[in-house]
Order: sequence, then C-alpha cells, then structure tokens
Amino acid sequence: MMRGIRLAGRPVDPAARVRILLLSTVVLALLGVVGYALQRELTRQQATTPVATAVIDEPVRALTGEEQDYAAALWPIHSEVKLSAVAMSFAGIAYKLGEQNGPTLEARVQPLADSFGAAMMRARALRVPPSMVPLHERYLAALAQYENAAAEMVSATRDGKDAHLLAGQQMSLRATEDILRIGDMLWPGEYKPH
Amino acid sequence: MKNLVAALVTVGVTALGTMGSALAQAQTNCSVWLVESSRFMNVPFGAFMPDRAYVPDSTNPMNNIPTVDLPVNVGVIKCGEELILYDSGWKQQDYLQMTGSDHWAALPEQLKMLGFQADQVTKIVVGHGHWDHAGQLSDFPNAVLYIQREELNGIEWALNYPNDKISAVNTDPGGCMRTPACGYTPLTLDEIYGKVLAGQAVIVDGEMEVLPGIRIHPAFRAHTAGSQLLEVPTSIGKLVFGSDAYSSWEAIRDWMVANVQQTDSVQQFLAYEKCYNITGGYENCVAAHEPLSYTDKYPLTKNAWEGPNGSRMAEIALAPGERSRKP
Repeated sequence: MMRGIRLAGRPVDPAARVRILLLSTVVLALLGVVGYALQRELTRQQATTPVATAVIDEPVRALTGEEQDYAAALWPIHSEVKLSAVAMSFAGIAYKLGEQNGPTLEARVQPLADSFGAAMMRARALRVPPSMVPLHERYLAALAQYENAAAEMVSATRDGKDAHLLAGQQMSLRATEDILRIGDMLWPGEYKPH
Repeated sequence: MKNLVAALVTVGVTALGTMGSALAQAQTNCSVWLVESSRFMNVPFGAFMPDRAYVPDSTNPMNNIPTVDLPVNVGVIKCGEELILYDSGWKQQDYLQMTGSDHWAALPEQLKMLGFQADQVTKIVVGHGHWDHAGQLSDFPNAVLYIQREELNGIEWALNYPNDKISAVNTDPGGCMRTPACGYTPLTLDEIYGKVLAGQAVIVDGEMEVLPGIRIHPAFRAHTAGSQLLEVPTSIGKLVFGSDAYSSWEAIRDWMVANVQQTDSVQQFLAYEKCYNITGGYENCVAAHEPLSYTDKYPLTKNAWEGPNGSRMAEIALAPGERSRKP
C-alpha cells in the first residue's frame, strides 16, 4: 500500500510532495522574472515612444495653415534623413557582402551619423504648432534612433561583432517605421506607385 | 538486319521520348497562383501607359478611359516542397495608408487562404527592389531573397550621383516618379539589409537557375537597373513573371511601353520579346499591374476569387496531384 499525503483523493509520496513544492517555487520565480522583464520592457517602450498612441490614433485630417507651414519646413530635413537612412542600410549591405571593409564602412557611416545629428539640430529649431508637438517629439526620437543605429554600425567595425549590426538594423527599422507614420500624416501620397 | 536496325532505332526513339517526357514532367511540377497585394486606385491611364492617355470626348478605345485601377500582383509558386514568391508586395500598416490605394492585405494572410504558412516560403525572387514589390520581407523568416547585384549597383549609383534631383528616394512629394532609382524607401532597404544580415540573401549576377527549370533572367533597365524575370514551367506551359518590366499585359500583347518611370523602353521591349521566345506568345506573360487582372480579359488570371479585404487572387496552374485552392 502506498504511503503519504492524499492529493485529489489519491495518496502522494512525501518525496513527490517535495519535488512538487520545488517545481512550484521554480515556476513562480520564473513567472516573477518574466513579469518583471515585461513590465520593464513596456515601461521602456513608453519612455522611448511617449506619443505613439496619440499619433497613430489620430484620424487623418486636413492640416491647418500653421501645420502646413511646419510640414513644409520639415520636408527638406526629412528628404535628407531618408537619403541618409537608405545610404546607411546600403553601407551595411555592402559591408556584409564583403564589398567593403571595416574602415570603409566607418568612413561611410560616420558622416551619416553626423547628418542625423545635424538634422536633429535643424528640426529642434523649427517652430512647432502645439498640435504638432507630439508628432515632432516622435520625429526627434526617430532621428535619435538613427543616430544610435549608426553608432552601432561603427562599433561593429571596431570589434567585428555582428550583434552591433543587428541591433543597429533593428533601431533603424523602428526609426524608419516612425518616419513613415509621421510622413503619412504630413505628406500623404509621399510614396507613389512604382 | 534492316529490321533489327529499324527496331533498335524505334526502341531508341521511344526511350528518348520517354526520357524527354520524364524530364518535361520533372520540370512541369509547379503550381502557380497570383495574389493582389493591393490596388492603386484611379491612376490616370496616360500616366501608366502614355499610348493610352485620355482624350476627352474621344471615341477611340485607346484613349477614352480616364483612369484605371492598378493591382500589385505577387506570384505564389509551389514546386515540390519549395514555396517561392515572385515579388512580395508592400506593407500597409496602421499608419501607412498610402493615399490612393485600397484592398491591401497582408501577404501571410493571403497565403493562409491558399493553405500556406509564411514560414513555408523558401525563396523570394524580387523582380526589382521598389517599395511596392520588395516589401514584407521580414514577415517570411525562412525565405531566401534573390536580388540582382545590378539592382544594388543602381541604387548605389543614384545615392552617389552629384545631383540632388537624381536621388534614391522620393525627395519631393509626387516629384520623384521618373528619376533613376527613385522608389527605394528606407523601409525597403532596411528589410533587404535585414535579409543580408541574416544570411538569407543571394545576390544574383545575371541568369540563374534557382531550381530545376525555374530560371531567373536578367532584364536590366527594362524597369530598373537590375530588373529580373522568372521563368516557371507549369502544366499549361512555361510562364514568365516580369514584375514592372511587365507592368501591363496589354502592353506586352500590343507592344506598348508601360510604367515608364526609370524604364529604358528598348530594354522593356526586349524583355517582352524574351517572354514571347520562352513561352511562344504573350498569353503566359505575368504582369504586375495589369488593370485587366483577375478578369476574362486577361485569360491567364481569369480563374479568380476574392481574398482578404477585397483583394483578389487567381489560380493559374496546378501541378499533377495538386489540389485546387479556389474556395
């Protein structure tokens, strides 16, 4: 006859009870870690993209006069940013395909990093209507992402680790999606059928 | 003796015929569907095909249609265990409304309707790298991208060209439709870069056989610097996919240019000729933006039905034993 406690009407061995307790403790600890990580991640996302919801949820509408002025002033900056973003991805492609070495990649990417920084300075100097402040902040955050992406690529040329390139590509992707969001509001029809 | 030779010749010919038939069978094992990634609405016909420019009050059928709706077609090709996409459409997300477009659907959702999962896609051959043909790449985690080196060279050339009117992205709303390499957006390049970083990109130099009988043909400057066609053997004969080198099927049939943008019209005609040579005519040339797609007027695509969000899809050819995916 089996000895020990009863669980759901059946006797359970004490050793099994210890194992169950240990397993439960481990599972709870893991859930705690996952919960903490999730909360931390969500908090960080909110910190980096504070106006995401405001921008996305806003229905498409005609811009007011001062908003149009803002869009017109941002456009030349935006045009340069897009070119720099394409050039940065392209530099990464050429490097990974072995067509360029590390020093060449750095020589190509560093000016792009500088250009993102310069774009940020110019964008900060714009007169921003109150209704456009959340969007403007988001644009600046995207520029910062691009700048960080460029820095990651430069790091890869120094220690040869692809992890930097992967991190940079992800940052660049997020920044690109952000400027698409903004572009769709400020310059609808920015992209034509090709 | 004469009879023996004749018998041997007969046996030989029969054996060769059987081998040829077996070879043909091996090369006609692809099933093909066409799905509409989205539709660009109300595009002036003349902007798409100069020969079809609208003339008010004209009774000439060539010139009496003011606007057309252009599908963005993607080829879904199943050859044995391989699932290949020819072009990958573009990605409309909650924020990218693409004014003037409608019926966009996520390609993975469209594939589900055909009974496929996104992770089953093994290869994506992009006809060229423009944003509306080389999008959604990151949604296919196991797919290897095939793109021409010449396409990348064309982007680099434009990036470095010392004239800011000739740039690699849209630099003016609506004003960059015909400059070299215009149409390569940061998102598209980022996704191509992602494939390269993941070791999932094949940079093609000219012609390449990606699988037995499935052959990439270069069509440089037939739309962009590194445009490429895809020849696919099927039970209804060979097909040739052309992306924007074959923007319009009517244009191939009637020898007219279409979607000129950065196109060298002579190279576009040579690409048309390639389809005639490979398939024996124009019927099996698969066009990317043909307004008549999914109708009886473009017979190859007439076996059509409605997919997610009003997008359309068509069953073009089934390999022996392949079941129909039409609902």
